[in-house]
Amino acid sequence: MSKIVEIDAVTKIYGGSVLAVDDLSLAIEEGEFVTLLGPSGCGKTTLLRMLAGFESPDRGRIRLAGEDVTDRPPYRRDVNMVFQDYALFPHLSVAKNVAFGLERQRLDRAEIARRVGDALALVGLADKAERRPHELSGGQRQRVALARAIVRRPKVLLLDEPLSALDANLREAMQVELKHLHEKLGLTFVMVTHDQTEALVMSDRIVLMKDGRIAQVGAPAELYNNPATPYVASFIGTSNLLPARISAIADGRALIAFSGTRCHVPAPTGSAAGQNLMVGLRPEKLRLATATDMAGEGRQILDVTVEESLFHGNSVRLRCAAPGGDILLVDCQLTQSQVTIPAGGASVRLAFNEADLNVFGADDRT
Amino acid sequence: MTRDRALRSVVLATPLVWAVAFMFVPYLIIFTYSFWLKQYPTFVPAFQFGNYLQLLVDPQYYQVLLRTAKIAILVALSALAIAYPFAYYLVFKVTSARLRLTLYMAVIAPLWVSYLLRAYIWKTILGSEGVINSFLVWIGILDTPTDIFLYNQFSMVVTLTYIFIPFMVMPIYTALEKIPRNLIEASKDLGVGPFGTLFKVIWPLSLPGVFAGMTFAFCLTFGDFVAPFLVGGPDGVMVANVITSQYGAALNWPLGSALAIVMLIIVLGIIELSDRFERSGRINLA
Repeated sequence: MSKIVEIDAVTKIYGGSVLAVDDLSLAIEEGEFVTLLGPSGCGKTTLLRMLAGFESPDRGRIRLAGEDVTDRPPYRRDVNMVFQDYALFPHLSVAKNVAFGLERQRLDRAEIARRVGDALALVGLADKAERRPHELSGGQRQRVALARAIVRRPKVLLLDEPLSALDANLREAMQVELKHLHEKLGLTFVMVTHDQTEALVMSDRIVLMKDGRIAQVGAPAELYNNPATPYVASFIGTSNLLPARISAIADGRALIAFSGTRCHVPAPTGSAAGQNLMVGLRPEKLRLATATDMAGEGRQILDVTVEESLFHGNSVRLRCAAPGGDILLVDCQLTQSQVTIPAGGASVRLAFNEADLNVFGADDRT
Repeated sequence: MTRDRALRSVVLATPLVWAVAFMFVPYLIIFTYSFWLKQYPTFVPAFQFGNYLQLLVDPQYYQVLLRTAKIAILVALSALAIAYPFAYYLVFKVTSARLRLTLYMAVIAPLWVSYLLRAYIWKTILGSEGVINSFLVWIGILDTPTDIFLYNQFSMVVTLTYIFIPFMVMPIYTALEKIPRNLIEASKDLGVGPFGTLFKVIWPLSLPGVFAGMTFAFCLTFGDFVAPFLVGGPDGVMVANVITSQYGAALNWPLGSALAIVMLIIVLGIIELSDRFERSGRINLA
């Protein structure tokens, strides 16, 4: 595996003062599916547009397959983009849209026709070649945009919120389809999205961004299970973030107190007894304890009062109040329809494993 | 309720009555005249096609129609050649919205100046005592002022192009502004440079504006009689001038009317044609 994209200390400032991308470095391996994830304004789209060449960085370099492309215009870069609202040429047929980028390459007509045919067949639109874009549905336009971008066999395929304009069902189907397409083509995909589910389902690696910087990079499961900061924990999935305090530290393990309980966790680097910190606990890692469940062997028990229960069909989300006043969300999978759902006001015992706690240092409270 | 309805009728009827009384009725009168017969010293009611026939066989008349069409086409093309790059520059190159508005207004502002004055200006630029001649004499290219700039078809095309450029800039500007920016980005992303993008994306998508502007410039030129009068000279006579003289000195209203009807048909034909072009090329940008 070699590095196909290297982003080296790139900074982009808009209008002299708005820092869109802040000294960001990132390397992308060939054939990877990387997602740039983050809320709007985090700089993910700017970063993608800099890869495409629509924006130029104020500082830093961008290399593509080892070549410095920082100062090259978009039409001299071996990348192609799937635009958010597809950007299909309305005056051209589907086939002409797909052929658009090939006509500049020195290919003969037969070769162009063959490659356009292949690309359209790949996205399942071989029979729509002569249609105009406005005669197609949203999902079909999306496929045309995809065919148009892959037909030139770019080194990197850029996708700018490719599924955001589709309705929920279609979006889910396209997620899977895009993932399969990625596996089939072996191309490097770089996708921008603000939808964490999309990122989790599709990516090999997620780059979670915040304020123009990378908050955390890693495989979806790594970001979900080991979030580096409370921000990551709350952006990807849901997390109960609770203030905690270190009671004692010994042998690299800390005894922390929160929400009326005490746990042993690996001590965060540079922490000391008496320090305040933050712990995160995913709602599905908490479960209703039976009367025989006891604390011990890394298991902890919390006594809480149910304030509200929300029925989701396959699960129920409980909003519970811990003795200290902390609010805890608990997701219970309804694996059997006979499971009794605690009513509001009921006192219940919750069990969780210490290993499922995410401990954040006080300084990454954001 | 009835009062509302009455009010609505009045509001709707006023422009209708206006159009009928002051447009359709006069057209109808002219249409009727076009079949009358010239009989010295005036003309008498009749129904015959002699006037139209005369337009077809007498070179004096069909040539003036051809000349008018030629000048109208030249004006439309030269206005396009100037207006398109200008509108392109405004829409795609000027980044400051304020500068864009200022430049746009600078083009539109002459519309508030008297038409006569604007035509007259060119007399002072192109004339033998004019700016160009004075300059050429001053730098020594010419010994004496030349009259080649004024009173010919060239001076007509220059003057009319200047006068009708705003009508070309406005629709082209609007058409260019409507082109989604991401289509231009998509073109570049697909490896097509600025020129290719201009010819393959921007130009085709701006054609409705081009058609509209060309129609304006052509039709307005076709009916113009002031510019020929001021800067035209003997070989710059256009249809409208001939009509004027038929109604005036020649006292041949029937022939003048026939000419006016032919002119009306040509202009309506052009408008219809351009409308069809625009309709067939209309593209769903949404």
